[in-house]
Amino acid sequence: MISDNDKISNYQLNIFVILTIIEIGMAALPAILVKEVKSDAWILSIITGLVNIPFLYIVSKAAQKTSTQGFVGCLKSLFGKAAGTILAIPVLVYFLFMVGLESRLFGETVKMYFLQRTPIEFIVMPIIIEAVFLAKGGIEVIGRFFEAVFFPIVLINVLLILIAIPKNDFTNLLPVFSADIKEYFSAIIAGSNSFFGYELLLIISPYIKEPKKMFKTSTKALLIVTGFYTIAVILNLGKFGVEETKSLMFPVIALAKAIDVPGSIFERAEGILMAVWVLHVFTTMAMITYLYSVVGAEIIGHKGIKHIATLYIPVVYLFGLLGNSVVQVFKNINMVGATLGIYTVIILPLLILIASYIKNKGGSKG
Amino acid sequence: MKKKVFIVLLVFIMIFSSGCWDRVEIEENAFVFGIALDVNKERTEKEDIEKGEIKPFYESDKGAIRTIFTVPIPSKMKEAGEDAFESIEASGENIPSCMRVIERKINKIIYLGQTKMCVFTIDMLNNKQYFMDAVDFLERDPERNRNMKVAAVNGSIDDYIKVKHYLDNNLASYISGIFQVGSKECCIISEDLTELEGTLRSSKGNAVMPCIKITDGKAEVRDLALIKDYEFYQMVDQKYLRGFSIISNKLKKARKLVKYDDTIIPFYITGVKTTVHLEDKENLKYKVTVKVEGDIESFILDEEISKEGKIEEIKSNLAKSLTMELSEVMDYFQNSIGIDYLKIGEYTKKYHNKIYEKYEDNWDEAFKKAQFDFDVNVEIRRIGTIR
Repeated sequence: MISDNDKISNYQLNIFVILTIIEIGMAALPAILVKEVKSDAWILSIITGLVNIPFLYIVSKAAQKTSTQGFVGCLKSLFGKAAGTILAIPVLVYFLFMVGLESRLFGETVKMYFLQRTPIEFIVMPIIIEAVFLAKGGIEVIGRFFEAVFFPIVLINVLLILIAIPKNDFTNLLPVFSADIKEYFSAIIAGSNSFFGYELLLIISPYIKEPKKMFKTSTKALLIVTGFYTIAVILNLGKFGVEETKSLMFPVIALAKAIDVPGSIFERAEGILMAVWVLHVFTTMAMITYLYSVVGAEIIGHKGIKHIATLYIPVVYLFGLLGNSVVQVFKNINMVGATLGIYTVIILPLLILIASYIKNKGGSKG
Repeated sequence: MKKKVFIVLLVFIMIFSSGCWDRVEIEENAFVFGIALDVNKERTEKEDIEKGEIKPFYESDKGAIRTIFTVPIPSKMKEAGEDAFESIEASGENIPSCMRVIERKINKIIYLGQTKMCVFTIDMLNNKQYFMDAVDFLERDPERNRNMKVAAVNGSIDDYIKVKHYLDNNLASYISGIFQVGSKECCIISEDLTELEGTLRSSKGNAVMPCIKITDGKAEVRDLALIKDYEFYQMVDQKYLRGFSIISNKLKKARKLVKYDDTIIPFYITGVKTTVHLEDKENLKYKVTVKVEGDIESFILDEEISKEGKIEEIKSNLAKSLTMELSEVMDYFQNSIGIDYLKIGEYTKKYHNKIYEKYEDNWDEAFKKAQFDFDVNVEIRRIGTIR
């Protein structure tokens, strides 16, 4: 039984969705979008955010179904024990991959820009252990931590945005609507990965105080993330232009490095960016660690999540080390997003909704 | 209790078993303030490698390029003088190989995160491959300072490092200081690495670079080096730079002399806003509107400038003079240079993309045939403390 303390308020849910979606992949997002649609990238960022709202609706509707029995419990009751377990396994693998790849990408950026001589294993391993440590505390502890870091994160991000605005050429955002429809579609697919994360609703729905307001609250959060991503794309285009942005691997970090504040108050702004980045990565990783622990525990019928969170550390670590180069890591992220991501965000919630509709119809007839 | 012991143990294991790989004492770093790049003329042997052929490749100390790194000596920094800086020279196949050569000679690690200035000799700019290699390295290296100023040097780097630096104890900060102050005060075009990389990519290898001219051991920032297809193309004379800066919206402040009766009056331009408008889409006819504001710095001693009509006359003279100047600059770039360094193509692409697409493959030809009308509006804001 869930104690009243473990209930998530609407405000907390808002923060959960925002901090889970914004992750290290955002550092590369402007380049991904600009490569596909050039100066329309900022419009695409808005469109991609809006395109995700229907999927968020599907997820939140499905999450309402999982709110009584839990995610795997709901799958088992809808599809039977064996089929329900089989359907839940890809979700577990998806979350494990997400944590692993997030930690790897974090390790790659830290190694590239700050700790060149430190072996990547020693950057990746501590953050995985720390994420597990927080996740083991349960949803209430995660909620309190997220609330505590949310305000500093917003403050630092606003500061970085403000100091990045001067000396930008915003005419680089022109021409608008110059790309083909085909390019728009491929950009939406490529960029959607960065908007995933709201699937957490499927797992945490039993803890949400007001499940009926889930969609409204999460939509607000998704719109905030969309606005944040769009500002990042606009600032990158304004500073570097189309050709330079698309050639950069992590344009957002390059932007922080190129910030030149008069009076040299912030000569190395990438240090501030990296400080807030650690929090972004850590919050995403802690939440997804919690998610895989819940799914893992429910699959095997284990009551607690603590052991499961620890048990999967080697798997997460191995998934993170997949890929010999950073180029391969990006390919892995795209592949996982296009397969397991779409399964978790679109296919499975739809299956849940269809199955529960058929079951209800059958039940009412019978 | 168990948890606390576990955490303490974990912290100890992490501290003592791994250590800190990135621990670098500040004295161990050689903070490069300036980089000067030239072609190595002493190179005699040449590696003949066919394209795509793989051979064992041995680094030669007489590499293709020469670099000079200006590095401060921390222990002497307090003394403030030329002795506090060391110029370290090396030759290699590219910048990283020069750095390796230098690191064999000194007991420090080369660090480019604080570099203020990077200069390329004209010989270096004449060699497309070497120039592209250097820019690519500077762009790829995550540590280097993206805001370092870049410039061309009309002379060899040996002359460059011997240049007398007035009121500054270091050449790199002296030259970068000229760019910093000059770009705000006297129509010096300042370009940093981020801008250079962006322009090279967006203009398919075309860019402009301010030039340092060395005469009798003294440096002067004047003229403009044009780069075409990643290679040095032509030098633009200083007289065209104010007009170039106005049309390309780069001018912050500058001085302009204007004739009034028999006197030459200095006008200090404190603000310029240029807007380009495509008036005739069929014939590519542009209207360039320039709004200039500034102050009169001196006038005729026994005459009252504030008397009716005088300021208006000066304004009209200034507008006519600037219109002629801008027309000449445009004519020079259209007919003598023949390449759109004034970013008219960029404007057309941004605001009239369909028209630009029509001429995209051969934009420079379209630029040469385009017509430009200038509309200059001058405002005199201040006249000093005398009426």
